[in-house]
This record gives sequence, C-alpha cells and structure tokens, in this order.
Amino acid sequence: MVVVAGERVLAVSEEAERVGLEPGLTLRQAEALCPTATVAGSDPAATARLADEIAAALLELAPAVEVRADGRIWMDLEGVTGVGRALGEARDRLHRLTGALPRLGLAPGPFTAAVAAARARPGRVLVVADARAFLAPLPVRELGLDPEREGRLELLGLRTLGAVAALGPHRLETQLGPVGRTAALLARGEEPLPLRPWRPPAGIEVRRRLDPPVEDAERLGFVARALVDDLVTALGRRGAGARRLQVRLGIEDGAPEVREGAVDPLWGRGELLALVVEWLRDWRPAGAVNELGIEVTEPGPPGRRQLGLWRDEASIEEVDAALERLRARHGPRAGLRLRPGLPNSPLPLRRYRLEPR
Amino acid sequence: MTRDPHPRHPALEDALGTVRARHGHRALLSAAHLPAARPWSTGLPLDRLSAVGGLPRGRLSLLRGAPGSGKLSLALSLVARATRGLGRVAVLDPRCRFDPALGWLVADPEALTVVQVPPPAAGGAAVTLVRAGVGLLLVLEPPPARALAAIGPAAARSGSLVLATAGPEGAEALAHASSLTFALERVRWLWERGQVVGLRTLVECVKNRLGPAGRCAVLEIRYVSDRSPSGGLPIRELPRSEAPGLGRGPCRGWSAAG
Repeated sequence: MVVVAGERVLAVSEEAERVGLEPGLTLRQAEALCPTATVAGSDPAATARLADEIAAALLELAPAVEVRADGRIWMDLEGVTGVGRALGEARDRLHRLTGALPRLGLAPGPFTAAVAAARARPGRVLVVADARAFLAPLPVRELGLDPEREGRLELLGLRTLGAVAALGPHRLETQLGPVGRTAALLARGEEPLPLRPWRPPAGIEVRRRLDPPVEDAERLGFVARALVDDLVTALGRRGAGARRLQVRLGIEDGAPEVREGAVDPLWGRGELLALVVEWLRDWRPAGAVNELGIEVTEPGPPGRRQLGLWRDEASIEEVDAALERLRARHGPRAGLRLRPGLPNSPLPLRRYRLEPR
Repeated sequence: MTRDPHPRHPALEDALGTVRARHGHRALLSAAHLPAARPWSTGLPLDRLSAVGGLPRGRLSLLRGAPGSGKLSLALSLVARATRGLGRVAVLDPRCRFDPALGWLVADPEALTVVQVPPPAAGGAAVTLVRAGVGLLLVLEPPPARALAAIGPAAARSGSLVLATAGPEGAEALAHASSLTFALERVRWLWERGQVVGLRTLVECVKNRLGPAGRCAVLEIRYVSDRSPSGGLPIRELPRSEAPGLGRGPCRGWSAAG
C-alpha cells in the first residue's frame, strides 16, 4: 500500500518498500514500479490524531519529541537515564499504537539518527557513536536535496557524505547557497537543525454525534459517561487536570448550546462525570440533541493525580472537591467544620461552633 | 450425553452484550465474583450484632427507633469514631439539627464536615459525597427514594459507608435500601441525682443482607463530659446478668457479654 498526498507518495508499507517504492516518488513513478499497489489518500485529520497520540505517549519517555507526517519520529534523550529502557519502551508503545515494528536509530543528532533508523531492522536499534564516520560512506541522496542541487553535487564530484563533509560548509555555500552550508554541516555530523518539539494541543476535546438525536437527559448522561472516560484517558496521558470545562450540545435545526465553567483542577472520572451530569440535568436544550462534546479548554496541573497512589489521600482530596462544588452551589453552609469556641465555658453549646471551611 | 450446566441462550447473550457495550464491562458481574463485604470495625458491640465484624463499607446501614431510643447518640458516637479511621466523615444535616456542642465527642474534628444544604438538595448532596468516596456519611433525614437509588450503587463503587437514622414508622424506602438495620428500643433512662445521665437501649439486628439477623444486646449509653478514648460517648454492652427480665420481643439470638 502507498499513501499519497496530491501527486506525491507520502508513506509506503513494508511490502511496497521491498519492491522499491519510497516516500517522495510521484504517483506515476510508484504505479510504474508496482502497478498492483493499493493507493490510499492521506487523511490529515486521522494523521494528526495519531501523531498527537504517538507524541503524547513518547513524551513520557523523553523531554522533547517531534513527530512528522511522513512517519519519522525523534526523541531527544539528552540527559535521560536508562536510554536503553526508554528506547525499548518507545518501541513497544509505537508497536501498540501503529501495529508496526519501528526501526530505531540512536545517534548524537537528529539527522544521523534518522539515517541510522532507516538502516536498522524492524524492531531493532542501530547505535551510532561517531556520526561523521558513520555518514562518510553514505550517498548524498541521504541529504534529501532537490534533484537540481543533487545534480550539482554530482557534477562537483561529490557522491558521498564524506566528500561533502570534506569540502566544508563555506565552500559548499558558495555553490549551493545556505542549503549547501546546512548540507555540509549535516554531512559532518554537526546538527544545525534542532528538533521542533511537539506541544500538546491547548484543549482536549471529545465529542460524539448522536443519531438519531436525543431528547432525554438520562440518555445524554449515558453518552457523557463514555465521553468522560475518553477525556480522563487523554488527561491522564498528559498528566493534566481540567481547569476549565466546556460542554457543547449540537441542536437539531438550531444553534449549538454551550455551557462553560471554571473548576478546581479535576482529573478523576467520578468528579468530571458528576459535574457534567449535573450540568446536563439542569439543561433545557432548545431541541433534540444531535451531538455532545466535552472539552477541557484550559488544562491545568494534575494536583491530586499523584496522590492517587495512596487511596485514602486521593479520597480525601476528592471529597474536598465535592464539598467545594456543594459550597459553590448552595453556599458556605454546605461545608461546615467544628472549631473550638470557649473551651472553658460552662455551657457545652459554647465550647464548639460550626463555621465554613 | 451430558447437559451443559450453563446453556447459552442467543437472545440473552445479545442482551448481555448490549448492556456491556453501553455500560461497560463492570455492569455485569458474576455472583461468584461479587466483592466480599469489607466491614469497618466500630469498636462497639454493633460489630458482633452485625455478624460481619462491623458496619459494611459500600453499603447503607440504618438505625431505627422511636425518639429517645438512643439512635442519634449511637450514630454520633459512630461518626466520632469514624473521624479517626475513615478519612473524611460528613454529616448531612438539611434541617440544621447537628449540635456543635457535640464537638467534644469527635476524635478528629478536622476530619468532620457538616453539610447543611436545603432539604430538596439533600439527596443530591448525599449522592455527590458518596460518589466522591467520603469515608462515612451520616444522613440525618431520610433522602428521597430517587436519591437512594443512586446512593446504593455509588456507595458500592466508592466504598463509602452510609449511615442513616429513622423513626420506627415510615422511611420504607430507606429500610428497603439498607443492607443492615438495627432497631433500637429504649429500656429505661439512667438517673443520677435527679438528672438524666444516659439510657439503656435494646439494640436488635432486624435486617442483615450479609449475615444472620436476629442478634440483640442491651447497650448503656452515658452522657458524660469525658468522651471515650476512641471518640463518642462511652457505650458498653450490659452482661445478661445485669439485664434481668429483658429479652422481650422476638430477640432470637441473645448476644451477651460476660
């Protein structure tokens, strides 16, 4: 199978790769090489979703991750202890998410690592200690230059990265411009191009279309349960809580209705579901609901998530959060505590008093 | 030819599959895998009367009796003890009946929260607290049946212990929903120097979904200024020798100390 974007091949399956297909070919070239290959159009939305999932999964292993649509992924393991373990875990997670065994390369810089990964076997790591020595015998095609610049290198007699490295960035810049300078630095194993780290999207949203539309608040609650489960999973992956929550109802033959509110950072399923169900119960939509969406518009620190390791402390925090919600709704008397009054008073009634927390 | 002890019915399997898909795999649980009751040991004679060693977590327990039977004193003593061992403890008090003078009973005042919401909102507040996993929730007013329907499953999931008090009549929904019901009947007041200093009350386990019902005991509850070390009023069980002539009513399993 090949995935195309426009007239260019974006990605190929392993079977297609064996017959000579590779990303960057035109569709005509691909069809000529393998007429029986299945051609699929790219799905940018699905690709972006998968990229986010992969990046979020790998961000737990490395401080910076870059994911590209062509299937190449970089992790900056500088300063990470247990690099081997991190690589093994990354391989397993990628396998789980994509269904394919990734090829891994470990090198001092991103370019060298990508070249090494392309040469590794599926599921294995190719480790490069000396980038320049590793790159020297490789063809200039690895630089990914456009055909015209590649042709000029050929004319200059520069067929390997070692030759390009020996020429030097200054001299190559006079021939090919800034691109040449970059190419020479890459060929030397000096990495002038930093990673573009993935940043998690500002909001986390889950939504579901309801067909047929729903008018019953209880049925909406059922759908909300499933959506909250997905939301909690997404929050957990990021180690975040929800500071601001938005619930959106798509109305059949009408304008969508939105309710939004700031909440104390919530991360637990029970808390989020209780809040969403409470909103849905009080809601009187203008018509039948054909879509339900829940979005964390402002993620926040997880706060209580680490305390989940100790059940009792997690319960106390959840109960405190529930009391805060009750106070927000019913006033300060929804959460009163005992406080010493006049401890020596002969009247027992005066010895303690109730006051808001 | 041997018969399959668990024959599969296609329509039933479809229905079960629909329930699982809609509500998750935890919606259906084989009876063989039901979680065992996890009792909270109160340190009071109720542990023996319950037959499971305490009040069950994740369930509703009910103290039922006429006014002056000691149910509130017993309930508040349980709440006071729970502040030590069950994390956050809450008293749902929609009619503002909680007396702050009882603060001296509580072992850990910081762990206790009194929730005074309007009566129509009490059921919802109870559900909210139980879902959040409050250690013990004392409900001083019977919540509506609709809220009870939600409190039961919420408590089962969170493990919260819900304790309620009710009069001898009415509150059928509460009685039906409870897993453990104790009926209290005052035997007599305790008088010293013309003052009421406590009471003796007959406590009988009249309903028990976790073990045999029918056990009873006479408890002596004293209203003193010094609380018991564990919190709450000093409560002791009378040995049979100190309760002659008692045992009226259908008290099948007399449980006596001494």
